[in-house]
Amino acid sequence: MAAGVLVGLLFARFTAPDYVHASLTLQEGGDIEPLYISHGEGKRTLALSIKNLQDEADVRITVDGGRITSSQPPPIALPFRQWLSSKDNVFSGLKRGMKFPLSLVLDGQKEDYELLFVRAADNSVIQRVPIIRGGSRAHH
Amino acid sequence: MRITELWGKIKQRYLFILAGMILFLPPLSLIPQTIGETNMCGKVCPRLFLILSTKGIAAGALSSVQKMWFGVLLAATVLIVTFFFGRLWCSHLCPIGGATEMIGRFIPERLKINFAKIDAPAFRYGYFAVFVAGAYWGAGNIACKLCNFRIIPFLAGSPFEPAYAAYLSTSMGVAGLLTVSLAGFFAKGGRAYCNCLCPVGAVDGLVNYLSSKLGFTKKMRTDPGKCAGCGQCVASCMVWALKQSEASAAVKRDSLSCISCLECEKTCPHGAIYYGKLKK
Repeated sequence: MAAGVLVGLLFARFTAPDYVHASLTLQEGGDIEPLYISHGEGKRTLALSIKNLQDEADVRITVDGGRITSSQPPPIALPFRQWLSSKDNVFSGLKRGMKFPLSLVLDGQKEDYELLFVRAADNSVIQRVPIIRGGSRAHH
Repeated sequence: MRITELWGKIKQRYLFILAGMILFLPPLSLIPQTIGETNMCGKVCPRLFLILSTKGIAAGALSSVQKMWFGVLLAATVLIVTFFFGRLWCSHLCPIGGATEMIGRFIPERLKINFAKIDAPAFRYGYFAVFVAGAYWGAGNIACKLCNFRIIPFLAGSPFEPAYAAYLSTSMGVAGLLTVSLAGFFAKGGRAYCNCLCPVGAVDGLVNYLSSKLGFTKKMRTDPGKCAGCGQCVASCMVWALKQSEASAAVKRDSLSCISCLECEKTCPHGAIYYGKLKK
């Protein structure tokens, strides 16, 4: 049993410097908490769970020095459910209250980054989320 | 060859596992898709709700049930089936344990790691205690780290979806792949992860153990009167649930680990092992 507890503790303490899982809320004028990534060189992958509180159906999501991929829709989408679609970083089919995953790969060349949410219709900014190195929640 | 003969030669359990893969794994993910998920995370996760929340046990449990309602329903169904019929989910339908077992069949036996020396129930419940209460104790959260319910679906979906490949190329993903490979693909029997690390398996094993005491439940059982102690079943067990204290002694079954795969029943040359109710 001690071995099981020990392995459990090792797993529980395990953190990867190049991977962060975090959640954020997309809301114009809402509180913005920065996303933290660890210090050091090399690319960083952020798996974000985003709660949308905006009414816009089409939102462009960009980050300078980063690549954005969504894990939606499923590889073979069945016809009975509507999924988000994404083309040229514009995510279409968003609804208020829905949660969607976003995978963000940063090149690691810059010190800090900024995740930008923009209305696709008029290019006006909805929200800017700073991504900064270090901080107390670097491994959340 | 007649169809009935062919059907007899096919390992029918593997057909069920393949069905489980089609139902739950990318690229199709039929069941997750019906509730708006694309893999076994999120609402489908049958594990995360077991973790005691640092925000309060009752409030955390309620919040988890709301967020992972399908996973809770799935786990509850698995436990009810196990109570009456043994661990048929684990052995016949689970796409995760089934995948490691089936892929492991293609790996040469000489490369396999034998974990049978580990006291699986003791290890499992030690690990399970940390899984459930680690965050609550302040010892850290196991949660999704190295979770095979994440790694296997991401592996299945990675040829189609760049986000899965991006995750698997991080050190977290590589560590997960390594864990699943060592305790799955390269483990003798392919089920060491299931036997030692799966939190649903830990609860399921407990339900199986307790309900096996009730004669009306259908389980894998051994008739000690018929057992000749040949030990052939011991070698066939992929979760090392069958033990022989010494050569030619009657084999004992550990119902905390047995996953009702029926492999031992097929192996026994004396008809001492059966799946069914307790014989009087």
